[in-house]
Amino acid sequence: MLVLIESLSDQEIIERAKAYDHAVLQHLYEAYSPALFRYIYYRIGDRETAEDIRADVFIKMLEGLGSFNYQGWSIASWLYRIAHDRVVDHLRRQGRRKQETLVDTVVDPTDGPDQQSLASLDHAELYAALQQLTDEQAEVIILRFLQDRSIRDVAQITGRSEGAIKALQHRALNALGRLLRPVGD
Amino acid sequence: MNDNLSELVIDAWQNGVSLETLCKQYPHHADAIRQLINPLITLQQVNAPTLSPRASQAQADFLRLAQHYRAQAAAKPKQRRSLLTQRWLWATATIVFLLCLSGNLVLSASARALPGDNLYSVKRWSESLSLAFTPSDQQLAVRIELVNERQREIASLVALNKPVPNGLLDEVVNETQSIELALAPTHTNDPRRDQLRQANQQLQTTIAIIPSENLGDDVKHHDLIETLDQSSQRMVASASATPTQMVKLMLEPTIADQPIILSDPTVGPNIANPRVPPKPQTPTLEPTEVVLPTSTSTALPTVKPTKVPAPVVKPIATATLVPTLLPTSTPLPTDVPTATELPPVTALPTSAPTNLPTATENPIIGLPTATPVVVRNPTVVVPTKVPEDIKPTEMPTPQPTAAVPTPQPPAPVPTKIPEDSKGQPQPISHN
Repeated sequence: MLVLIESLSDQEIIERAKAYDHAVLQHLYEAYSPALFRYIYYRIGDRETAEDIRADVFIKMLEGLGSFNYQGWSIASWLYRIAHDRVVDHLRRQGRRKQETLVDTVVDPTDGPDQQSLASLDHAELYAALQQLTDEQAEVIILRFLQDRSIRDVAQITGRSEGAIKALQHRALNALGRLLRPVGD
Repeated sequence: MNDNLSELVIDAWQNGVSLETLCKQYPHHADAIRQLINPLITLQQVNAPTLSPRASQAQADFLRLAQHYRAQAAAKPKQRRSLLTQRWLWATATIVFLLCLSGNLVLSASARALPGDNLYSVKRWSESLSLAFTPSDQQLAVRIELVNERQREIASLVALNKPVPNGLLDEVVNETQSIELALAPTHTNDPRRDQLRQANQQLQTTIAIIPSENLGDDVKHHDLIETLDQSSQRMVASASATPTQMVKLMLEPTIADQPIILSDPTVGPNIANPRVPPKPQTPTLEPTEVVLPTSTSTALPTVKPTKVPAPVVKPIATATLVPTLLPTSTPLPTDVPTATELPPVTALPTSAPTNLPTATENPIIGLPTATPVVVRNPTVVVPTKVPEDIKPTEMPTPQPTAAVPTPQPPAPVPTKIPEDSKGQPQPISHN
């Protein structure tokens, strides 16, 4: 069933989703829930809050399906846009979270002890480095290289032009290269 | 390195081109390429965080909520369809449509109904309803139109040789008078006055042609026509009268309230109803009949001068009675000729002629050409008082009785009588 759904175009998927097709909605949830969680998690640095916001994004999707019109936007871009608005709203209300929360919550409970140590380090360094960037640069890095979204998708999600995203991406990578330790050090 | 080149290098690296290859390809930007690609290599080695076990519970909640939305979406079209297919809705709409249609048909059919028809009450009801919803400033015009409608109904009844209800005639005459009263304060140029006048004339004509057998026993053509005529004349009089006169005209009792005059066809030939022949004039000694028309006497001579010539006879009759009685009284002094009591005796002949000038005024009034409308002329009032003062029937009897006891010398009488009373030489020649 999932194979058949993946063969559908974005417009067909949206039409079925607007009819609250159970299989399509389940597919959308399973396909985009982990990526949305990571995007939210790297943005706010708190696992539980990220999971709550992720669940809220899908509820917003259900509420907005009736009025959603396909105008070249993929449903993934639409979901990321919902998540982007929710994150911005959360950051505006809560303020930037501190690094301490990330160290406590970034550990994946499914990982082994060694992997947990390595992942925690990487996640902590990554989050610390992202905190040194501007919000726009951090969001471009997350969407482009941690979520593998295209320049066009990032432009749609953030509401900027593709040229602006390219410039942001260039400056963000240069800044991040100075912050992150070299590979193998 | 510009933004486009950096994007090109990133795309190449993401598509599998190694960092060394990119540095060889762009040797001038090798350092910049390394600075750009090294963070990407570091990001690739970061393990992605995974969802906690409670995420599965969130997925179940999401799917349950989706099912709820699906149920709601499926219920809405059913509700719309069921509303359109409700039998009671169609039945109610059909009943309302039929009621409106039948009501419209009945009203249109009743528009041609005549008194006595079954739909005539519906017609009158619809007229009352429309009049009630008419603005107050337009109600008089509508009422005039309703008078015209009544006139058409009466004409239709006459054409069909059907009896005309008495109530209909009384109603239309009263309504005409009522409208006239309502129009009295309006300006003389008000077009409604002309409309009412035309309606009044048409109504008079229509009533005049009603066969007598189709009228009720207690209704007469000329009474109704005269009432309408008086109403029309009041309209004309009020148009030429000053405001105070107009108010006086309206406050005074209408002629219709005086049954003696209005019901009496002896007033003269009626122009509006020529079929009513005037009765022969019979002079009576009832002055009250002449007094009543004085209320509208000033305006009427100019309106219809030749209309009522007949009442002229009445003053003449009263005037001629007095002289005829006087000669009978004059022989009395012949029986008692006393010279010493002549002054009172002379007073008698002189008193009678001095009172007579009131009678001399009457012939002037009685001339048909001079004052043709004696009935409405205020000067006619004078004769009504004259008979009371003169009292012709009593004059002969008291004069002899008063003169007889007083001895009057016969000698002075012949000398004075020829001077005072010409045409009465008999007593003189007798002495």
